Amino acid sequence: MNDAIVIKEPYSDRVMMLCIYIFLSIVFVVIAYPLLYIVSSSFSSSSAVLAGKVWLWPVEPTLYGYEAVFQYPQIWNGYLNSILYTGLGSLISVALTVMMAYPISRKTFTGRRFLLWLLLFAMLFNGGLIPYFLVVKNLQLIDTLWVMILPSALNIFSILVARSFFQTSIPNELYEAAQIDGCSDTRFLLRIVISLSKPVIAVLLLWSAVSNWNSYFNALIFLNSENRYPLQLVLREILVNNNISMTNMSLTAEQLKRFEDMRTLLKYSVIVVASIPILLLYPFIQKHFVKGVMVGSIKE
Amino acid sequence: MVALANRTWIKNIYRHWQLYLIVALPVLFLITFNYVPLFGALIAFKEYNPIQGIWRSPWVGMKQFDLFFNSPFFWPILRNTLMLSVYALCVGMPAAIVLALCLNEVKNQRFKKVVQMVTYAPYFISTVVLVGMINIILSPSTGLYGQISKLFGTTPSLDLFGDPKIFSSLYVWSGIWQETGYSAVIFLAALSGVNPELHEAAKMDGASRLQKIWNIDLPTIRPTIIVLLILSVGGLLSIGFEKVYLLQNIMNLSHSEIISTYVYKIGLINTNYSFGVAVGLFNSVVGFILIVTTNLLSRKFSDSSLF
Amino acid sequence: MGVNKKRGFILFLGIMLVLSACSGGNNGVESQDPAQSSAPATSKANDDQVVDITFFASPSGNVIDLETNWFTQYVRDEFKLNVKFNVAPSSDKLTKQQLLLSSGNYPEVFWNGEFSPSDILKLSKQGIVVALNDYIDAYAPNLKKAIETAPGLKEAIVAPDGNIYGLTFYNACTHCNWGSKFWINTELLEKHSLTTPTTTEEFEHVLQVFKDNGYIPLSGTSDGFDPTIFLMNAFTYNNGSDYFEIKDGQVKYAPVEEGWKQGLAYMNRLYSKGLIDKQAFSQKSDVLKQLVSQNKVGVVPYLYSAGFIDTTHEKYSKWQTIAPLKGPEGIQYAAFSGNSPRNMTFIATNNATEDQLVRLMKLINFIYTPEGTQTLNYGPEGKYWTKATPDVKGLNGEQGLFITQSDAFYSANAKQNEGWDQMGPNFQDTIWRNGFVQANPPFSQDGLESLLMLETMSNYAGKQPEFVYPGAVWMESEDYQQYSLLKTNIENYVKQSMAQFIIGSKSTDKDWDSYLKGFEQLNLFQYLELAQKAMKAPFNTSAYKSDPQTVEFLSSLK
Repeated sequence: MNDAIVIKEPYSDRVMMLCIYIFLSIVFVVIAYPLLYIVSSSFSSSSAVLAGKVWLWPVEPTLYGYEAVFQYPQIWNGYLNSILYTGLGSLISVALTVMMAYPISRKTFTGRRFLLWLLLFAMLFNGGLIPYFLVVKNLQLIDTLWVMILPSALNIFSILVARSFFQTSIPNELYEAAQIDGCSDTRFLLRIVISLSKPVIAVLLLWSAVSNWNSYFNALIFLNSENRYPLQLVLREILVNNNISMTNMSLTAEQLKRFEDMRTLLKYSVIVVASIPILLLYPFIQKHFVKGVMVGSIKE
Repeated sequence: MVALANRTWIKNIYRHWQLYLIVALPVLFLITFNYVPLFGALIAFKEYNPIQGIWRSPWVGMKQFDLFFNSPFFWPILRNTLMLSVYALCVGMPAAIVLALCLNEVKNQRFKKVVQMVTYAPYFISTVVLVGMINIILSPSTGLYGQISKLFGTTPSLDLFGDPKIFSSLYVWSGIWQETGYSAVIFLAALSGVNPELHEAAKMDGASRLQKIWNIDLPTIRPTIIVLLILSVGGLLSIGFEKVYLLQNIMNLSHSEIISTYVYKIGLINTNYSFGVAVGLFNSVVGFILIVTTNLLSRKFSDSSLF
Repeated sequence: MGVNKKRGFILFLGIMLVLSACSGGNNGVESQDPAQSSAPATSKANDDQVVDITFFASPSGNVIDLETNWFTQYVRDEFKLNVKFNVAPSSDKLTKQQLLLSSGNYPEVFWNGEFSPSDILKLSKQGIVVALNDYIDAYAPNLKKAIETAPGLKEAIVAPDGNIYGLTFYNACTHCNWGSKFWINTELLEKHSLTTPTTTEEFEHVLQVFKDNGYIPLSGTSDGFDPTIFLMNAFTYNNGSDYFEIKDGQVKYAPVEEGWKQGLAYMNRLYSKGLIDKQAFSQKSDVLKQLVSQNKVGVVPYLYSAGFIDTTHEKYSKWQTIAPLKGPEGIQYAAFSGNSPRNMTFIATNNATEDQLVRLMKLINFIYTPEGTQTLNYGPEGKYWTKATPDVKGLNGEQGLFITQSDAFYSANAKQNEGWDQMGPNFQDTIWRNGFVQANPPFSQDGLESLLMLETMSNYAGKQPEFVYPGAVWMESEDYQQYSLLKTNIENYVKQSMAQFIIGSKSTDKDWDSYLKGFEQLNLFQYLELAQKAMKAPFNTSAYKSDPQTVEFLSSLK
């Protein structure tokens, strides 16, 4: 279709395009440099990193950091747990989000304003940690797989964003037409709404996966067994030390030194290893952002 | 009139019973994990004691709030908190929109994908490591910042980590570096809803690229922008403590102490759940007022709003 | 579990105690036999039964899995406790501990939690924590004796009502007691024919020479090691944590004293001349490490030199400490944090049963022997440690107890599943600390302990005031809530102002009075009153002295 009419771009547009490319290239370099620094550092010897010799490419290349990661049994266990929690958690979360967002996006849905306020209120107000903990405990979820999935499944922010998406991108005429055809609400949601909202569902999936992957706090408070720890909690063990203070030391000098050495050794390789799965998710999400996908399908 | 309205109301429920069935499950989640624990907010008005539990702990009225409001640091930390979050919002959101609009214009698919992927990647660097990297790369003595300054023959003039006035910029711009690519994703998704026919038509009319962005792309994503804006306004007081805490040092403390770090420090010395919940409640009330106000304003000045 | 093994073990225990010059070492042996104790009677059959118990614990990073750990099995076999763990990473230990307690969903035992004495008072009032006195009397004679003999232990664990509600991680770590050290690159001193500075003036001169030769004279980090503590101690006593000092039995606040003002003026002078690195208060240790490894720095404040320079670095052995400087008024203190322990690590809650408590106390009695703590830390004999043969010397030059391969155990990527690695109510008293490793030459790979002991003993030990504010403060919870708010506010103010005075945005000449006024608004008076009220007696530091024999012995190893 685009090929049929070829209008030569005006001069100003070409300048504009050039500017965009230059701008994006600058953004690319600024963002890519520190990332490259991490990757290069992860492949360099720790003494070279410490001495500040690493600028762009690995210095004294070694796989020692990665070997150390591989020798860390908790990391692998955490990896598997995280993949499980993220996979299952995102699916459930996205399903719940759509189930909530679609009805309240419909003007004919009585009570949608009430639900909307209910959501908004719940997003802002909370009773603090203790009652939350008690509820989860009374549901017998503590230290189970489900505690990593159910309490955080409903994301109000996502629901509100999804609702506004549904509202703007699904034309009312379409819905009326479907009704005349005798299409039930469930069918309409499953067949039409979901296929028309692929970009937003992709985003919901991404948001949910990323927040599941990055979260550690629920794991911290609800999980008791170390073998259920997700990756992020294991990483905190390696990277975070809030205990360094000369006067209130809960670590002894030997432990402190060990911690510091380990952190130096593992810091960069562990980030690379931990980010790869969630980075790989992006291209799958990305392919749904094709211009005009919605409008096109409405016409068919 | 009333009778008619009533009838439509009932008819609607009857006709769309499936919708109510669908919404029941998430509502159940909402009640269980959001509304049942809400009664715990009572703790803010009590002297919480775990043995007595939430209900039977003694009432202390507004004592916890008094402690917070009367603290000599109340106004400074409120100011610091707002300064950081408003700054972050004002820069962060436009940055994400601009990035999304630019990416949307790019025709070269490979370039587009690579840039998208790279800008999205920093989001997965944990805060601890991010702060560590900022320190190394921006160090005036050993870092890139120092080296570049030396290239130009000057000594690094700014004490990026110590100067209290620079703290907010350090916080916000490192956040931009880390999060813009990720935040742009939602706008990219919204831009995929732009009707290509509109672009074609605009092209025929001889509209420039900038005009097309301004008159077609931006209006399409405006509802998304407004919803996100309203939602983020609600969280202005609730900035997470970890990154600020890690960037803090005695030099910039006067500008880097915010509500969450302050509450954290008090909690380190003495666990007082009631105090923490009271501060949380204060944040929520302020957030609620801000959201409702912003929503009103946006309804008045534009056609879209959250509710 | 053969009788022979047990008997052999008891025998060994006896020998150990005699060797360690611990009088009345037989107590340890008696405690192994519950029949002899005057305890609330428990039947013999009951004693052999393994009892389940849950510990809240936060293991060190090199422990692979507590559940399958060798020492966990050892506790099950020897002390009939089948321990399950509720774990938290060390970075978030406090968060989880507080949540468990506040939600009422806590286990029988917090094995290595973190409780201030005031927390303990609160918990005892709430009925959550149990008094251990009777069980200690009946089953833990070693602990009972230690309370009388180990410095600081009694103050830390015996509550004002005479009860013992919790136990502490006792660590007579000499070098940690004086942790605010200055390390200097002695090679630079020699190169520019300077002597080790002893006064603030000499120090300034040394820094000036370093600067003139292109070095960063004095650096530091924002994450724990800034140069102010060491420098301030040439003007007024600054312990680096709560800023309290004791004068004539009264609690005084160092930041409002004249000496503090002079100290700030001195630091401001150094700062404005560029003798203190601008980044000394704001950079992280990662950056400091880079600077040091590129040989760019003269003086570094740190707990131990291996924290900022790799032990394999060629210049590692050039980094030595300097003793506290003498100020213009002749003041010369070393910041002392040996008024510890400050916190309880172990408590038993009201969920614990009689059977569990009895077994726990027997376990703790075992831990209160050098052998017990050693086994808890490093697992079975023969893996990471062996008993010292008669020719092996400990850190103080006397007969050592064990040879621990601490270098292997604590190397960066070591993973082990033998011991609990310094987790729990350990008893690492002077005898254990001096005897748990072989004295190696200070700058050798395995010599970290020797080096730190030598540097501390020769330059810092004994240079603290005779009386300091106690580390363990028992404050009633009504007071404590107020106290913690005041403390947060006041210490925030002290730190902010210190920075402003040093960099010169406030001047000690002009702004000192308004600075003092600020304290009135923050209610310093009430704060000190609360602190005074909570102090039963000042902490007497006269037992914490340098030992010339140790210094001589360790120096001879060079």
